[in-house]
Amino acid sequence: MIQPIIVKFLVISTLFVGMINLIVPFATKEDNPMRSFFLIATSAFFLVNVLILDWMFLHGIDTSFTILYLGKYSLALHTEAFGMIFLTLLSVLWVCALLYTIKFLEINEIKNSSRFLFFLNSCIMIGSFIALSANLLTMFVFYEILTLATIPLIAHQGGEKVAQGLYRYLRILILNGFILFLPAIIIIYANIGHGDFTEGGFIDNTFSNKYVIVLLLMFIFGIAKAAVYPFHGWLPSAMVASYPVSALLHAVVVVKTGLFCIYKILVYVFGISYLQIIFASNNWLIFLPIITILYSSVQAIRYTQVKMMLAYSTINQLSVALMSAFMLSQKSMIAAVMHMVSHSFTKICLFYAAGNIYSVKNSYRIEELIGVHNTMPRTSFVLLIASLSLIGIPPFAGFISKFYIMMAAAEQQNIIVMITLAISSIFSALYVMRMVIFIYRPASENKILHLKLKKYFDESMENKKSSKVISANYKAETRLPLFMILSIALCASGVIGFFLIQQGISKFLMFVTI
Amino acid sequence: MIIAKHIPALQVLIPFFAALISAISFNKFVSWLIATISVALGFALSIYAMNFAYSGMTYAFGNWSAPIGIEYRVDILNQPVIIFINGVLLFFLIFGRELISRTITDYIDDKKQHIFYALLLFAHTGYLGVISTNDLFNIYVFIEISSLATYVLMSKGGNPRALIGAFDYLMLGTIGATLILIGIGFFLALTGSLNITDVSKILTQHYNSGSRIIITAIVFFLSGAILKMAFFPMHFWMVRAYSSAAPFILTYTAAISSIFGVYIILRFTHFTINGELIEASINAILRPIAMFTIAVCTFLALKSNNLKKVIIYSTASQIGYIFLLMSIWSARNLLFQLLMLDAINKIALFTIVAHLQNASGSLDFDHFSSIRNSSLFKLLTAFSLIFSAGLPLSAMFFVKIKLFDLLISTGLFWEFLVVILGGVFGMLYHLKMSRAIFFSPKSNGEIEINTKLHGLCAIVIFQIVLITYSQDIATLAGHTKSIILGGS
Repeated sequence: MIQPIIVKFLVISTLFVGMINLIVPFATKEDNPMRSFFLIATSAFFLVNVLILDWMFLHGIDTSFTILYLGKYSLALHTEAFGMIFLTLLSVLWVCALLYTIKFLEINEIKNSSRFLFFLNSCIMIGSFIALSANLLTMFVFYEILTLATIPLIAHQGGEKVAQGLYRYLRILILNGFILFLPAIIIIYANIGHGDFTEGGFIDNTFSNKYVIVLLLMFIFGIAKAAVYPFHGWLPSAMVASYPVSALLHAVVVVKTGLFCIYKILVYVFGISYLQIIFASNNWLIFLPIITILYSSVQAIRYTQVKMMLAYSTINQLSVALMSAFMLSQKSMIAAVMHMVSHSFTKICLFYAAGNIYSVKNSYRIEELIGVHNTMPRTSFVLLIASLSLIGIPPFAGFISKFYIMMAAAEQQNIIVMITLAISSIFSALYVMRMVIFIYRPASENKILHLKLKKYFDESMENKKSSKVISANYKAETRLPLFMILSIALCASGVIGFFLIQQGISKFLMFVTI
Repeated sequence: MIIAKHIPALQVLIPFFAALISAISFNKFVSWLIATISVALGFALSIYAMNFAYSGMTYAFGNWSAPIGIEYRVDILNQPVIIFINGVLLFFLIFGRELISRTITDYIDDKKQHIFYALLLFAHTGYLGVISTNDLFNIYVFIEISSLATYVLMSKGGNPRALIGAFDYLMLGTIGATLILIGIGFFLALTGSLNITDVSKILTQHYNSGSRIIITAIVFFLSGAILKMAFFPMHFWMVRAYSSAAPFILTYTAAISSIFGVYIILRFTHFTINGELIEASINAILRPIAMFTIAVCTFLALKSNNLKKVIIYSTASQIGYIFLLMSIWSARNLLFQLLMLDAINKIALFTIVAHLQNASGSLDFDHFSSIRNSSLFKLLTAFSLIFSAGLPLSAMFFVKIKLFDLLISTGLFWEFLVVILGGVFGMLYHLKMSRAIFFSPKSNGEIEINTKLHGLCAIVIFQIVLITYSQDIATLAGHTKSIILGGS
């Protein structure tokens, strides 16, 4: 039997290892191999630590401790199933994100990379704290700090346009947090006396049914990171940032935090069985995400910028996950967690592949992607896989999680959910395939000759012979740093091998009585 | 120890004599040195005196004992305030020398620059006197001493309109002081005594007689104090005076004035008269005004187009929060915590404004100069704004949470909504401020912060320390006070 103190120590040391990664960017020189080594080694070490924690958790050892004692409003951490899943997801994606971002910054000549990497690492660390939060206040505190930590990342490039986007981003996230999320938390604390997450929920019979519904809605809309319809605007606004930041926001930590917080509140604060009673007659809760799904599907088709399309696709997928969670059954909850993880892998692939293309060709719009297949076959392939996964084609990640959702819907004979899921997939197919088609459309040699490459790839400018330029352009992908390819390959293997990941997740979820 | 016996008087007399000496020093540096040493001495002394505060300590001036002579006190209500005020001035003197000389004393005639520090010490003497004394007339005298010195301090600086602002302040300050004096006069007429303990003892016999003099006296005194504090309907003088004054002097005056006003009111309502007597009327009148203040002042802060104005309106809105807390019996242990944190936040913000103004940047949001190459300044500003907005993991955040909790658990739903609304406006104007400071376009001109930042550094570090010790400070600042004030 392992002593509880050792587990406690292990959790603290794991977080400490993560903290080391915050210092590394300032302790090493910019664009130095040593920096890459230290950053990746630390994050890999963090991953190993988390895996040990996972192993111990699966053997029934969990722990909790207080980080800041403030009486009723203390900040505390606790290892539990949802948190461990999220923490593992974060630590896996951290390695991928660092592998990719370090080189992305280098080849795109983004300045002040120390600051950038610091805040990137901070976001992941703060995400870990959210994952482990033991009560509502801890969750809220780190949720808001996460918002603050993303500011420097989004604002990194500077300029008036960025400032405007950032202003909208912050206005929605911070205001919703303080108007809805925080008051809901305080109401629970003031009336119940604590906000500790308890299995099966802890608010039953304290409030009247109407009051509970109001509270639930305050949480759903207050957690604007989950991007439910009227408060989704921050996601497109945040698209002013560069690709690694977008990937971080969409796939790794920010929106996933939103989903994760809502799941945790549904399961540990309200309790699914209690909510089932409240929504027994008519579960209108699912219509909130359904409206979002329909709205974002239409919006995504309207845009031809890759980034905006992906932003609305994220809103769409988030709501699919939420819709599943709002079906309020054990199966649907599991499906929601699956979809959260599968969407993470799918989206990170999409963003990194698009980031690759951007790094080489500087393209923003779908029409500019013609012929990418010829010059960057591997990136195009990853993009294809991720797109198929997003639509929900077997055997990729998106299919498995959507299948779970379908099963949960079938159990309840919830036809609306099934139809919405189908519509969402069709629309996803429409807008994603448009991109894929452009990529795989054959381009004339002339076009490849006139490709405008970024400085980093553009060595061939001295010899003006067209044949050499073409061959150089063909080879553009091979000149991508190995780390970036590796990172994408890792993410893509997550998409392809999701059926393995899925088994792990269900093991964790056995520990929760939903 | 012989000195220990005289501490209550020494706390006031040290800055007083230091003021006299620095007035005749005829050298800016020497007078700064005298001021710093005396305030440091006073600070150390006041911390030492905290030992006596729990048991209470009285001092009879010239050995004329209480009802006849003037009595000074050290107790749990006033000693922490004294420590705080000393600390603020010490900070102001040590870290602000460069900014004082660049933004204030450079605009004064060379031969009279040393007088600035003398006036600062006189104002300080006044504040400390009001807080130390247990004598009603003495309160008035010291209010006048501090006010007269403050009027002059406020009129200095680069903006010529500071003179007009200071004149406004002078008019309304004098009216406020006069109202207080009239109130004191009524009490003297009724009880024949000026000693607070004595007056409150004699007054207990008069409460049942239904005497209108008591009500008149209370109304006069309180309206004077509220006017001095710039509570909402009478806040215009403050906005005018502060917006034209040199920003750095505001780190001292704005930080101290509200805590000082609250102290006077608490000393009056809990020690002079029977607080429960006016409890209901305070709730009926002051609470709606307080709520109105929170809503209106935060809104005005959001709408104003100048960085300094935003901060000033934010100061005005804090007075609303303070009166809201004062009108809720069980909220009083939060009161001093809020006051202290807000004062520290305002010090940080006004210091930032002083730095910006010194770099001759425009403070209007429309043509706010962009700041070049000052990453440390930007970092510290970001921290200060986060702390001031009460975003998570600032000490202010936890105070806010406790306030929300309290409002909900006492069933004050409308107050809760108003505070949330105020908080939202607060967030928005902080966003506006940060947008101006961090993202103003280069076409508005560029400035560089070349003043030393150690003062700002010190505040930010202090605030970070406050977070870790917030529970202890809550106990120190709130709990013990609430014992003496009878709150929960």
